[in-house]
Amino acid sequence: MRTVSFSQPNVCKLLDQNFVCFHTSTEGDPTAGQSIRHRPGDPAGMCIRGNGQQNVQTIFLTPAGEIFHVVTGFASGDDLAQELLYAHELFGELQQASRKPERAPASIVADSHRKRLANYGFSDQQIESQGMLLGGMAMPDLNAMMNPTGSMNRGGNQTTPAAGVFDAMIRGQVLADHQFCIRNPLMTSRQLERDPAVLVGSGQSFFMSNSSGN
Amino acid sequence: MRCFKLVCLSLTGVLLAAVAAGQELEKFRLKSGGDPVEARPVSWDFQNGQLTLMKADGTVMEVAAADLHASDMRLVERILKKQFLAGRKGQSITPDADPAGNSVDNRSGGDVGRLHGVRWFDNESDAQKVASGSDGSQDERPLVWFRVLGDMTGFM
Repeated sequence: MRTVSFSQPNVCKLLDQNFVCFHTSTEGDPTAGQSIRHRPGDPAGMCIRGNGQQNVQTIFLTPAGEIFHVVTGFASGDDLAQELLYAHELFGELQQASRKPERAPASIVADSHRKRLANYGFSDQQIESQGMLLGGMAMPDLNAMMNPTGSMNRGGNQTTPAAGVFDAMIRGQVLADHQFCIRNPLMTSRQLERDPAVLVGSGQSFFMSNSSGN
Repeated sequence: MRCFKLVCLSLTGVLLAAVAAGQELEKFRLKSGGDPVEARPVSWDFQNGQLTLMKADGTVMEVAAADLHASDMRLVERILKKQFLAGRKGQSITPDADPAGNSVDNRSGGDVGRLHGVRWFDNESDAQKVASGSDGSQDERPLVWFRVLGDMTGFM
């Protein structure tokens, strides 16, 4: 993500103008996965949305440190740009709500994520389902695998069964990210640091991406 | 010179580097002429060729590395080389005090530098000060927290 997604011009512009960025390392965290280390200048390997969800998490917070959106694992530049736009819009709603306190901020966050999942084609039953994290990886959305509609992989069209499987994995991860925000609206960063497993699971995963260097 | 560049790129592969606290001011000459700029290097984005300098009064300016005289760029490289050899992994790469005596919190919020032109902090507390607008820089903005296994500025 450092090499590819964070370098995309529209992502840089959105980050620079609308957000304040910081990073922390999960080194030593028992819920952190494992991976082959890369230097900043190393060529990027192939990834799909959600890969390495225990290794990288992009988390959106209010200035007070309350989480209102998460993207676990890899997100391409295009996907990240979409998430930044969504987070920017949702933060605007929260700011408006602070001036009109008839709606609780937590319900605004939860409702927004439900609405977004519905727009992606998830049913109410799927949205409210109890997600499963296997080794930090969300269970694939089996329904989407059997009925591959509404591709979430912006990289291409579904033309093969394999594409359907990948898309189901992506949908499962996206579902899990949004469900986290529905169930834990405005959880604080400190709460998450105390128990990251609530977001990334408690299993152990290993992430590796490779590149030919081309 | 060439050897040093190779060392920088192959051993560290960094996009961003900077000098440590207490670095003395140096005079840098631009090829375009004019008075030399008295400043110290803050960061060097290898990928984009942008050098960030901080003047004595704490103001920051960005110049293209190619716009500096070759001898002055060698000076920058010597400073960076010294920094790399010091091997102070994990430290803030922004000076922690400026010549005007301001603390890093008041001046820059403890940012670690820029990645692809975007300012990144290495802790939530300093980022929150800017996000809340308490530094007077801008209205409230949300935070992006990149929680990553490894070092954002090094191996990850």
